[in-house]
Amino acid sequence: MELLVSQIINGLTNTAVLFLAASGLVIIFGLLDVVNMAHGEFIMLGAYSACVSINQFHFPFIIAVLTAAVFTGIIGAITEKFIIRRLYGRVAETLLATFALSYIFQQTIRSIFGPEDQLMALPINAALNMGNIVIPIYNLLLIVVSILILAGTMLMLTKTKFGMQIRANVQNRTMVQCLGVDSQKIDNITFTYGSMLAGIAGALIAPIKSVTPDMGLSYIVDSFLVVVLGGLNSIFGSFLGSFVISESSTVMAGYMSEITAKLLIFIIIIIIIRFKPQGLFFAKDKR
Amino acid sequence: MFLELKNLTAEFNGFKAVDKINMVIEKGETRVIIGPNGAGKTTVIDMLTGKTKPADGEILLEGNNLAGKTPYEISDKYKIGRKFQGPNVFDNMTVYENLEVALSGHNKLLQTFFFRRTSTIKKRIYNILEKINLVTQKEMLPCFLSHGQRQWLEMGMILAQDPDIITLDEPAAGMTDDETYKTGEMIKEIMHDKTVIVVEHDMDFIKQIAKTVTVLNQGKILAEGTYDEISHNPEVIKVYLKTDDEGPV
Amino acid sequence: MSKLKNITVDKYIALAIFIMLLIIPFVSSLYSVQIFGKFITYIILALGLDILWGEAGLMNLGFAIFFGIGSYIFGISMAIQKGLPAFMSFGGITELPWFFAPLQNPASAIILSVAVPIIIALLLGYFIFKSQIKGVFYNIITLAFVALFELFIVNQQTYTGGASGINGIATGVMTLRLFGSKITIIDWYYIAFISLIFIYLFCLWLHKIRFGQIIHAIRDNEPRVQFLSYDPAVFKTVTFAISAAVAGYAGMLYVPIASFVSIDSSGVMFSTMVIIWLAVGGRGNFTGAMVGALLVNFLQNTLSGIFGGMWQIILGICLLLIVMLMPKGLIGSLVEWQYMRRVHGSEKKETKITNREAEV
Repeated sequence: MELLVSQIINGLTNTAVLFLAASGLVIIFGLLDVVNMAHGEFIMLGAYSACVSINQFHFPFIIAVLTAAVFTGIIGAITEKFIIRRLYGRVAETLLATFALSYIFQQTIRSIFGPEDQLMALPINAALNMGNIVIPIYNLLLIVVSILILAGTMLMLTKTKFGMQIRANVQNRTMVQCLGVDSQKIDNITFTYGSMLAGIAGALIAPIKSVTPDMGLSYIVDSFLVVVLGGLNSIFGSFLGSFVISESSTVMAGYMSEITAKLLIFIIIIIIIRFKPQGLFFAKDKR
Repeated sequence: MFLELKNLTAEFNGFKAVDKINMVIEKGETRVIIGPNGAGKTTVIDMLTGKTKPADGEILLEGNNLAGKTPYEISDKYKIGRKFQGPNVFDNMTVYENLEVALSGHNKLLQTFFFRRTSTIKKRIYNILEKINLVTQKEMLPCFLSHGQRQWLEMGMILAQDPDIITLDEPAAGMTDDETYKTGEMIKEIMHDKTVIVVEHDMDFIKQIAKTVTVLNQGKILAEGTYDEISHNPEVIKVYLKTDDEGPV
Repeated sequence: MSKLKNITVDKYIALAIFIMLLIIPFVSSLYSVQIFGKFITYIILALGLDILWGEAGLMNLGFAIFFGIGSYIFGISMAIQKGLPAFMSFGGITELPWFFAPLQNPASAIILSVAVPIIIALLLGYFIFKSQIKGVFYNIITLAFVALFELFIVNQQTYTGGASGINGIATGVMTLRLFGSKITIIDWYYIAFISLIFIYLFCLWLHKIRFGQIIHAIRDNEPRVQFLSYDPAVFKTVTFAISAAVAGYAGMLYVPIASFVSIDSSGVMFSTMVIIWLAVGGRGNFTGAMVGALLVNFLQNTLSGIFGGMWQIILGICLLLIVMLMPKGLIGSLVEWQYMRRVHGSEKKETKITNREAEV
């Protein structure tokens, strides 16, 4: 029983990490129809900027997270303005361009910091002791933050005027422009927001996972699995997708190697979408 | 009874685009379906060709139910061909290649590896090119053709496909009067031994080609009869002819 | 005469590449022969991806996986020719695992290095394409697949040599004999070279036949094809399997030439490289794939020494610029330029066109 509970809590932490990693990707795809292959590298940039803020400048953790968000946000805004904007509607070119970008980011970081793992101390060392179960407070924090991001994003999209503009912009650009809204600016802000989420994810993940130039890859692959399961344009679907994948891999990892578990989950997902091509949850369509 | 639609229903998120329609079409008939925008005309064609899955009802072709089958099964096994609304052709392939891809009888996977362009096949494609007036354009990409010519190319593809039943979704849409007339003659001449189902707006065009007309309104059948009966039916005039600016007044 | 004039510029470039590859062993060192031998297998791999991406429009972000499977199968086969290789005995196993038994015979290993990619592609293709997974989703799955493959290979150290790859291949290769004599590196080079020519001709044939026309039609307008009695999923799956077979064969050839197999030539990074070759050279005319593979690898070989880590950043920036400014790639743009010149040229000489019409 205790083992089960602690496994579930572990799974929740992994859910939070995975959702944080996937959320920016889902937002950018759902709202802009752009698959950002460099998303994993935005997470990586967030993690590195947090490491630098803490290890070099000794900023407090919260400031490091904000720095990461601002840094990746700026990079995202520039990327959108000079690259993505010219390629809207051209799926293959967008994929290739962001692919090239991920390559550039990775190699740049590698040539500055080298291939080795960057270390970052856990900002909160305390843990919750319940009988034999030990839950690090930091893991709880991750869970809370991911729920906040989920709720905040959904509220922003449905309740605020800006959110309505974003959604209207997705549905009918020309009409939105006729109403006097600068839809290019909305695109830019949306992409920036998605990139900032990636940066925040990177900074939050940095203390508990390894930080290397190619760390983005594993997150983008997992995010993609989430997206395949949960649908590319539903942020709530991706939350559920993260939950299913993390819980099942955490539980399965008790019986086999984590990699075998992941491979098995991948195969199961492929078989599931054979019979339920819309994704398990709220995906509207598959492009 | 050749083709029968029984209680055919299409639903999109609870909205019934087509609501329990019944229709019988005899072999060799040319049937025109008309109706105002949103009446469900294209949806009927969609269900017939497998693009949309009916929510309910049956599509019986000589006793076989086609409802819910895939488009390639319907076009392959049951020989129903389709011309889309607005020309839907392969834009990066030449006119000749478009017809060759559509050519029937060599569609199984292995056949596509051992297909030879024999003189019979070349002659068959050449005949189609003549019928659709595109002989000199055969090496051109469809994007260089006029709108009318692209429509004809798609008609040619249907000829190459050689189905038993041909569905045409607004074959004269966007054509000049002259082109429309030519298209009507084309349909009459080249498809005389086929069963043809046409969705159309243009009343002159309908008069030119149709014997029986079915009028749809809001997913239901409003009236059915000859062109003269329909054009004098007071109810049809009320919902369709008077409100639609494309129809004659 | 007019037929010769109609040959597009890419065919001449392909011919030039073949001539160059033919004479390389006569004019350069054994080391260069090995390097260019590797390049030939890369070119074949690029042709395999061009069948899938250029012809059917199915970009694959994890294509090197099939190259990897081919090379691992033949590599393991070579490594176990003289008893259990070191990486297996380090892993604590004392006899050959049953699933490697068929690999003891090099001939069956060669067949399997092509057959296994085909089977995997058929299975994966069946699930992906029958489920109507298209566009981005398809790309994502291919990437996820190669990433997991890489993790799996690195993890199964006992059977695959893990991150350090397979050693002891050279001794296995020495045991191979053709007509009673040992196969030298030059022989392998020419085996690869002849294979390349055959595969290039196969690609041109595939492009021309009805099957090729139908996959072009699917690439162009998949929904329309369904109404012409073709099941696009079947054609896409078969295309996937054909390209996987070509890649597996290239991977098999790579083994005796490179004498080494590791995840570096089958994982995510290598898949990225294949994409870059095709993006640089251009897709859909096969010459672009060959030029891209040759050019990028040649530059990498010569420039990475000079620029070090900067080289990869330069490569990334070049790729970005080509995607933004020249989306058809070098050869694609060249062919288009030639086509436009011909069209404009023939407009001026209207009479010539009618002559040609009469000939046809």
